[in-house]
Amino acid sequence: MDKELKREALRQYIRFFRVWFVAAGLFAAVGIGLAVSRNVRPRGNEGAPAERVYDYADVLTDGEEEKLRNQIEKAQKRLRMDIVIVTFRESVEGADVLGSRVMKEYELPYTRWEDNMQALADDFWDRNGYGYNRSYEGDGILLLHNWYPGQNGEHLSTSGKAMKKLADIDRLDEILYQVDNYYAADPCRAYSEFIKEAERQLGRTPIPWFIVVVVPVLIAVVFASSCQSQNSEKYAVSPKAYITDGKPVINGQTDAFLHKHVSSRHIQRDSGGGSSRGGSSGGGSHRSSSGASHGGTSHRH
Amino acid sequence: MIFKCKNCGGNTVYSPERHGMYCPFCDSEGSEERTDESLGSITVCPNCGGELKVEEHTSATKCPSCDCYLILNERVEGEYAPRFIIPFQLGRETCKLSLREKFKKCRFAPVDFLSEARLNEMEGVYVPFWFFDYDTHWDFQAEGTKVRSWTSGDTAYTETSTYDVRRDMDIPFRKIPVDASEKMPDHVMDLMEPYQYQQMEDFDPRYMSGFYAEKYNMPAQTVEERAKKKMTDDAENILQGTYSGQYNSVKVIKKNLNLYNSSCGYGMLPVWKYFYQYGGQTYPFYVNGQTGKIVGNAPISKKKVWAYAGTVWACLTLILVMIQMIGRML
Repeated sequence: MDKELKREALRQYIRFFRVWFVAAGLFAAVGIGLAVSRNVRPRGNEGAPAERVYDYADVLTDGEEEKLRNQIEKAQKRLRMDIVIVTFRESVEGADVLGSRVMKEYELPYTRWEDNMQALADDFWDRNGYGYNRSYEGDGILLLHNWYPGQNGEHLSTSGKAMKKLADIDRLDEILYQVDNYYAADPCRAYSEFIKEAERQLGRTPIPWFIVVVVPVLIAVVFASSCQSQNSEKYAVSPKAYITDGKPVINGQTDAFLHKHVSSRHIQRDSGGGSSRGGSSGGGSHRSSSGASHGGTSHRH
Repeated sequence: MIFKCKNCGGNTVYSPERHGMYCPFCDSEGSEERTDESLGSITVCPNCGGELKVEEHTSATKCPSCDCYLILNERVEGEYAPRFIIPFQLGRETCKLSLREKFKKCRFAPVDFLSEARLNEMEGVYVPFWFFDYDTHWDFQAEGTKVRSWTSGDTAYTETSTYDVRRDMDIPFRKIPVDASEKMPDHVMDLMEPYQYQQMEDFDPRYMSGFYAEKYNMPAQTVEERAKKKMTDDAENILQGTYSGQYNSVKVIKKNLNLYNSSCGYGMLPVWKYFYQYGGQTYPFYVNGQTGKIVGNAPISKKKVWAYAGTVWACLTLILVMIQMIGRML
């Protein structure tokens, strides 16, 4: 008897949760399947250069470069995206562009600093064929930092999945602020913080973790309490239930009008005012000279 | 008295489904024969001589030795003779079904709460009731006001109209039921209402065969207060129904409920009783044997609550964590 009850309890339990179990199983299968296939799948773009830190401006010591390379390697493995840092010290704006090597080499057509920085960053990525999974439009980010006096500033170029994940200008800014904050005092620290922040922004999960912790607890509590409530029967006898023929015998019912009284009051009216709010707009994606799609933003100091 | 089958000698019982006497041993209908033999004491079964557990007010019971349904003559006759009875309309099987239907959403009830074995312990009981008749009359006068407001330009107007409200009506109440059993909780018996009096019949002991019953054990005077309370509440509701919604406010000038005639009668109403024991506690369920209305709250198994809520939590957490993982990878 006891055993039979236990079996019945289990049967009810499974029947009640079958949809839940199927859903959870599906998600688990997809998640684990993806994770496994991701770890098994090799890096798609073997043709890209191994170098990740190009210190043309020579602001880093060899040791610092090595440290950043190691940090990038770890981040790349985790994110499965390429991270490239390029520093240089050349003019891309104004009259002194005539002597600039990069302007010629990369055939930068613009006059504004921002435009040329963007074109240069995108072209550097495209020409070298960076991208984790595939060359050119593959996944990854490139930081281009110009140390030319009076033109100091950086551009962050994104590509592939990184472009989608960093479509929000605030996130791009958040990453570049790390460079802004530290470059003057300690360039190595600036780039190191940049990698960390990029890792954080690119590794973001779709739902904040506290929701993952709190929501299931809340729903479980609501579920537990909702299934416990039972609507108790109420006294539901019509007041006419015990009357002969179901209705009273009305001998007299009058509603006679006696008098009325009207009062009036003046209404004070205020004239209201309005307010207006300004808006802001973010950045979108663009195409580089080679036709690849990139995202990104610049910060000039 | 015992009702026995003319054909096989078995104990015939009243069957709600067949609306008549029925012999469960030989399937005969209407073959009952009343026997009034007695072995001198009401604690001895006249059928088998076994010992009966008869409580002070029991008027119908079942012999634990021979499973024979007995009706105690001296407790259904003379001063204890009921005038009316509503025979059971709901058989045991129908009653089980409606209990299962009502509590099927109670996921946290213990597993055996509605099991066949437990539900078979259900007992059909005829509960003694007093039925009160009252002839009443309302004499009511009040001042009702209606308020109307509107705005015109920069001026708000309020118009207050006053009316003279008078009501003169007779309300004849018939058969307000109040249970006459000390054992039955009053509020539960109130919740059993309403009963459909169209199916009320003159008392016949045959209807009792197959069920348990009590004679009245609270005199009419003792319970009349409850009937009067129901009567005044109903009268008040009816009166208010004639003017409520029409006025913004009503100021009573005169309000008299006169009772000019009253009487009472004794009768039996059918109730199914299911006492479920769980965790050292008794959970009582009462089912109206005529309409199937159920009163009672299902017990809750803490273990089940934890298991179910825990599973909900685990499944949701798993799904969300997977969404996080998938979102990060894509």
